[in-house]
Amino acid sequence: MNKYLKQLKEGLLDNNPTLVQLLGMCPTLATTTSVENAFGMGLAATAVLICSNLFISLLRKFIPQQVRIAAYIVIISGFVTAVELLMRAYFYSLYQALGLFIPLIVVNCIILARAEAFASKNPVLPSIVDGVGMGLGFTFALVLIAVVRELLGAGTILGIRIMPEAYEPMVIFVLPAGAFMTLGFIIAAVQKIRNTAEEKKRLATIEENRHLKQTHEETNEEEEVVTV
Amino acid sequence: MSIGNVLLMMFSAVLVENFIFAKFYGCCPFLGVSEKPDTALGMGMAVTFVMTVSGAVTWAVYEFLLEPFGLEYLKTVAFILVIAALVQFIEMFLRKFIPALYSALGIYLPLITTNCAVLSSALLIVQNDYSFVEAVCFGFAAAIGFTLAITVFAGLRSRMRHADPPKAFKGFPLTLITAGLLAMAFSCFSGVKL
Amino acid sequence: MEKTVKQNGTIQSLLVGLKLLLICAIVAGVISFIYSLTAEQYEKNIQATKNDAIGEIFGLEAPTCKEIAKGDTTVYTVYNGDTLIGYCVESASAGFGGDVALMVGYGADRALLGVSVIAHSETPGLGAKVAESAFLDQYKGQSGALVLGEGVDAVSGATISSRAVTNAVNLATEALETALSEQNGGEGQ
Repeated sequence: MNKYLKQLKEGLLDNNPTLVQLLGMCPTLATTTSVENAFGMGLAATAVLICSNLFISLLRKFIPQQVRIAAYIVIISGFVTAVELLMRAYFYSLYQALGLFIPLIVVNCIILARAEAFASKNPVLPSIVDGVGMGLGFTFALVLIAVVRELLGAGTILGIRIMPEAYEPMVIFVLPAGAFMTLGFIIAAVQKIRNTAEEKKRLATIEENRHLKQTHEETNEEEEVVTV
Repeated sequence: MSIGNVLLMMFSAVLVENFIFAKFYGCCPFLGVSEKPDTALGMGMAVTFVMTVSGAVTWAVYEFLLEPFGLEYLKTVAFILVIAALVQFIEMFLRKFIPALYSALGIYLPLITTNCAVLSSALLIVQNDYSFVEAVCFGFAAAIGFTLAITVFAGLRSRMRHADPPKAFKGFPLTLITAGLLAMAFSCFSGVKL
Repeated sequence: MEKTVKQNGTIQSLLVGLKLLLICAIVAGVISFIYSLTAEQYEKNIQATKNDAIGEIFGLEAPTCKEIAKGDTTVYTVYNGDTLIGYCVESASAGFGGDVALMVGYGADRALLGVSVIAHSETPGLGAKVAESAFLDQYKGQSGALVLGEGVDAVSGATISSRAVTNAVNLATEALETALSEQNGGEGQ
């Protein structure tokens, strides 16, 4: 159980597909103009990711090595079309808002990358957990970006006014230019956090090494005398 | 559509509705393969080639295979298969007959299958009900827009290598912010009415 | 010996092809099945959006509509019970992110009663504001060919989306005029 929790955390934070692995940039940039769209896109992609991971893992012995990419793409696009058909029947307004980006889940690099790197090599259960983790990580990143963009660009979150009336929305944030920049600053923040964590770890290991070295040197000195 | 309209549509696809800066199609290669201007240009040329041909082929597949049988809902599956096969075929063809071009484009060709610009241009062609000539012109023009964006961007990035940003901004964040500035420049076209 | 190796190779690649074909066939089959399950609900959704828009414009729960002209724009006559209370036209024009589709309502005297956006893909927080009543209410009571800036003010920062709505309204008015004059001409003969 612990192993799966760790795997979930891996997808959500440590190895977040969007913020750390930098995959799936097109939907990240395009659908984060509002929190609602970002959330919908994230969940749709998560659904496809879980299903495709499940089936590719099930079929990993059946799919011939030579045509595996084609096979993965067909399976993924099948699920995407299924999600599209279901969405337009049961979540019509969300379907209208996401428009052309639903079929483009097919070429979302995250899904193909997880199929190739994880699901094709691992049993069913870990593959599903991987799909859930990575999918939620993607959704989390999307919502994070969308919160910043919607709040600054329109003064609202989920369509509800948050900023005071006097706040003049900075339209640039809902425009394409704002998408690139918001993502840039968020990833910079992530790098900062990771750098600090790494720095801490490095200092800790240096400290430890010095300790080890000291005890080592003490024992070495005697040996050196012998070799000289 | 008259020739004038086709030209206007092409102009708009290159600048006003630039795939990268207005629609975010094809951002992965745009951010990933723009380290150096010459590799960026190579990628752009490979994409232009594939997008023009795939515009024609997917149009034909939709018109003659899917629409007559009422299978429009299978278009995503069919298009991605066509594009994957096409990329594979072009790769084999170039390797055999135009080795010089193959060695120039070689490594970028397989990447194009997962370039969403190609799939989305095929889907847009169907959505906008283009004729065959329009489909080919649109695919070509949209790809030229992509090439323009990625080449200009690679030029900027090659300059940035000498910059010394704060540590947290090194690499990807700085790239994205540069892309944002370039997108701002391109957004001045969005007011152009055609 | 060599021949059997070669034959094995052919059989192998044939098997690969067959497997891929099988996957494709299954995927296509499953999608077709889901499509047949959901197609009806999708039609209903589209119809419901249109009906809601018409109901909202005329302030009625369920007006009866009759299609009188179809093409790029569809023209309906709207009845409350048996009395003709107006006309509705469905039209669309290209905006920033794609087509902006409208339902435009006219009274029996052909004055603009109201406009409702039924589908659009404009930028949320910007172009999407054209779907809000603050913008759309400006069209109420207008007549003839409209020009953005004269009587109707664009949403600031979203000229393209505002222009799309105005264009679509003008298209709708034209379509209504042609449909009605054709109908009258037909009755006259």
